[in-house]
Amino acid sequence: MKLKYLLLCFIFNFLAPVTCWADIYIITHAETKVPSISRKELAAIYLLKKNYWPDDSPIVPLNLPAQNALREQFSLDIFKRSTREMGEYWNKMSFKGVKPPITQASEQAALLFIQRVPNTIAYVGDKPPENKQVKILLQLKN
Amino acid sequence: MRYFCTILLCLMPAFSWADSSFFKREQWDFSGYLKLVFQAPNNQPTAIEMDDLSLFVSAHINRWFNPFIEAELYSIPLWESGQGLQFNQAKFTIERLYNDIQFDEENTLRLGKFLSPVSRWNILHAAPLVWTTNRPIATRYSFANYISGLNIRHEFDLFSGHALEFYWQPYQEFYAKPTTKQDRHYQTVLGAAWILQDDISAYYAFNVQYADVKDRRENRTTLSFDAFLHRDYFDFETQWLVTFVDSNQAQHHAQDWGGYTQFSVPIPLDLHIISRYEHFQFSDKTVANNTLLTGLVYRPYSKLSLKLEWQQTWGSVYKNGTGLYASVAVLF
Repeated sequence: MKLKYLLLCFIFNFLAPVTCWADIYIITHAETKVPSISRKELAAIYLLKKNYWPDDSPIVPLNLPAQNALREQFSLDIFKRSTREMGEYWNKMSFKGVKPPITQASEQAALLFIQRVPNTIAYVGDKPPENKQVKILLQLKN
Repeated sequence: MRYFCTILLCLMPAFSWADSSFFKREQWDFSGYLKLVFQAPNNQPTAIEMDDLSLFVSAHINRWFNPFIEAELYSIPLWESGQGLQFNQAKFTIERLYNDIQFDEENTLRLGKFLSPVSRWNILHAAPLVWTTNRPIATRYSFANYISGLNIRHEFDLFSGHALEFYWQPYQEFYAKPTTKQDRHYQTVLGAAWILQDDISAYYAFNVQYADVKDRRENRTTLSFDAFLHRDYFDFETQWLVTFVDSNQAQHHAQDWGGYTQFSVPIPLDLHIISRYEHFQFSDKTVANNTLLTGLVYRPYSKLSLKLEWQQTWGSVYKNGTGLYASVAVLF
């Protein structure tokens, strides 16, 4: 009987998904005068179609490196496209004179950037503590 | 002098509004592309040519100053059967030179020289961004490809890209290519584009354009529809147009009309199979042109593509006759 359970566990282990996605937190500098945003607004911001907050200040979206797993998850969640497919979109935008969002080397770097620079927006995998410098605009549940 | 005035008009709002952040490096972007073509059309010499070496510079300084310039070297023959290697010719043009003024998120005024929005292919014609070495006739032949003047764009929905554009060329094209490369030069051009959708997965647009041909008593009114659809297992694109030609020159038909349909299907090893059919009736030719194209594209990275295609043409042959074509295109 035990052997049967072990065998079932072994098979289940192979069938289980390799990666387990976590929630994504969309964060901004605490002084940004927006309490929350929708997924559609978030997509428009990261496609650089929406460039200004309601108070007219410019939005600065931050991205993670192309190889980053969280960026892949974010891209699939929001755009239904892989990071590589989004590369084709950015090539087309580059031809139109629009360059992609600036990249930070890690989630920690993005969080530090958010804390220091107003009007920025970024995504992180771990829930950041909301304080005088950072606030959460949206939680993408998985 | 008129060119100088055009540039000055483009830049004037910028200098009056530019702030101290004008020279920040991160606000400027430099990029470009090149296209190397091998062509072996029937009954013509086999040749290798660098068709485009294009550089563009753009900046986003503030709402009032968003300049863009694209300078291009084109038609650079490198080798031709019977003549051997050659490095003695190149042509230069300013493809685009404009400034965008963003009144608000939804309304933008563009001043300068820009690509007319009659066809998506025309807007995104850079070799690394298109699937074939040869360009469909419908995407370039009948209408003004470049506008030197102003364009007003209103966005109905930022995410879907639903928008309306109006543009006007009051005088003539700035820095136009010679008529050996461009079918005709235009004076006054007026047009509108109704873009129903322009996002990462689809593009649909209706266009209308009225254009006065320079140095000829001829005007052309074009109605066009074009679409692009991206799915996991294929890219589909099409354009159909009719251009009513009012001319004092001999015509066989009252209008140009035609269009194309193209599929691209990914297969393993970063390869894509391309297939296109085009039908085009020229107003000044008795017989229509029919073109069937099939090819293979190797695209290991989105910025690099190697294309190999066979094109079979029947009827009135335009610039791209039956034969084998290949190209390497790099975006940098």
